[in-house]
Amino acid sequence: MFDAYSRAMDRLHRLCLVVCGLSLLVISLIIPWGVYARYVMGKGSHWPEPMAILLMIVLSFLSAALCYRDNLHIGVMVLPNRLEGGARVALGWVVELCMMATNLFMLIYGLALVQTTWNQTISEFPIVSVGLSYLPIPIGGTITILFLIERLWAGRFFEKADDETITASPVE
Amino acid sequence: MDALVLIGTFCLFCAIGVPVAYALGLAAIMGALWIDIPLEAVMLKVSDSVDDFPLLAVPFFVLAGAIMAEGGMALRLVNLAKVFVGFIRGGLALVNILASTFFAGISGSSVADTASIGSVMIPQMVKNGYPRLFSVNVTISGSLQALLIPPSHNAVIYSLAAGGTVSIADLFLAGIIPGFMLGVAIMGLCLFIAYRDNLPKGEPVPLKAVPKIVLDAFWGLVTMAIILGGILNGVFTATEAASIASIYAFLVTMFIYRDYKWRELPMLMARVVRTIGMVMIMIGFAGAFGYLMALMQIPAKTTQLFLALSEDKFIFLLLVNILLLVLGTFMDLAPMLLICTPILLPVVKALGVDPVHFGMIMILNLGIGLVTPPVGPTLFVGCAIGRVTMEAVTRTFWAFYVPMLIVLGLVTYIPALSLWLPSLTR
Repeated sequence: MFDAYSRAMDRLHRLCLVVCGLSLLVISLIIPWGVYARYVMGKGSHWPEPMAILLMIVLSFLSAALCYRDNLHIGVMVLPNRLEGGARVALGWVVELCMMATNLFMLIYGLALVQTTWNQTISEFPIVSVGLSYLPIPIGGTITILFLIERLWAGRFFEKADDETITASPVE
Repeated sequence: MDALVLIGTFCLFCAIGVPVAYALGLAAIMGALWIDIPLEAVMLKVSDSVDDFPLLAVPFFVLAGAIMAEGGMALRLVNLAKVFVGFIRGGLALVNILASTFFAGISGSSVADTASIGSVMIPQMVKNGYPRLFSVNVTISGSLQALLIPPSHNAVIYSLAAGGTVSIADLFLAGIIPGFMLGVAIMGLCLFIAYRDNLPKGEPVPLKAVPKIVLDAFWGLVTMAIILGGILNGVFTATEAASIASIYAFLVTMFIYRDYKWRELPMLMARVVRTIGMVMIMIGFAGAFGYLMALMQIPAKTTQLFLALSEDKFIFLLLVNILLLVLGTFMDLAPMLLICTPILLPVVKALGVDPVHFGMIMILNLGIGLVTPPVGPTLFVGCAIGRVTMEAVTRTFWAFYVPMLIVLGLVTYIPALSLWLPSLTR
């Protein structure tokens, strides 16, 4: 049962990665297009900036879920590293429940934001609902909760990202 | 009491190991419940904090740096540095630092700098008779230049944490002199150690090889010219310059250097996405945290407190430096910038310190924290690349803190070092 769930999470993780990668790729192309339109074609495009912002929201909240599963979020591990055995597991449960609370907040209040703004439209894209732009927040929260259930189920607390992932993901 | 709830819960969540980004979010939720603010407002602030166009510069600078770091740029910069300093005693240590200076003009990340320059230089230094620990220490310390020399994505984060009131272009220019000073100071230490320990002397690069080496490195170094030239001449915004730099880095790597394979590109994008994920969610929750701090008037109260302690800005800057150095050992640069800037900036302004100058103090100070245990990502990566233990590096690294602290002192008390270049463009 756990194996099936874990495999499903692997697929969800890969899907998030693809969506985020494509979002980054599209943003990387449309902003230079805006510059090209302004200087070469002589007329500025109004859509690259809001489109890039929309994709940035998708990228931000889905990639945060990815980082959770890859143990990449920055944390202060001084106390957990000093604990062993039952105390470490107990602290792991507390930390994961805190994560659950934050992601439930994103799910519930993100959905509320989507509902409230669903009937408003983005001025640059009259066919796109403002609510749609907030949708990545509850989706990101839900995906993180699904990853979190996997972690609780497996009892894997305070795992480290492997050296290769850390080296290749430079952030300070 | 309000401040205790907000900052106290944040510290508590961080201490038990909740990721910093989510600790900020939880503390903001607690704070909102405490002062009876609707949680919808907190949610809206989280979203507003990430849908900011200037913020898009951060992922692009990360992307451009990653493409250049993984696309063979490091080796070319090392070769260029050898032309200038490779023949001196301890030359490879100086090459390491100078290559980091060049690399800093492309990437704003000390971790990326350590990973890419370190993977080229540490094996070369060890092979040529340099002690392994010394080689790692030189790599780690030299990489801090990347935080100051433009383009620095941490300068963009500071600008945003300051409410967008500090010009990114000014911050980029302000970092140039302190960044070079840091490089020169660490080179001075390396020279001293090289003569004291009789480290090997390198061979001069043959003159006929120089034009090709310079041309090879030139394509990469143009990235900095695109970014700085574009922003300072008003051709691009910082975000546009960063996106153009990403496209340029891609074209140079794939079509001029040609040592990166097309099939590796999806993996590169996946790594960049993860980096962005770590930073952006933190910015989102830090926005909500900052909103609660403003509602609780914490920055104003902090200003009153500091001014009550001392109205002397030199003493204030000394206290702030000590505070940030201590905090920086426990937490990474980006979260500290996001948390401390809204609190300290009003005090700084009240004392007449220029926000651009203060940005440099914060970035350099917190950057030193990146090479300080227990939480030092650059230190960790340096140890992984150099295959040494953190304990061994920590035991031998102390001498490298001396030039860093001297430069921090100079940058703190001589504002012109940061403000002279920006003043030329006003």
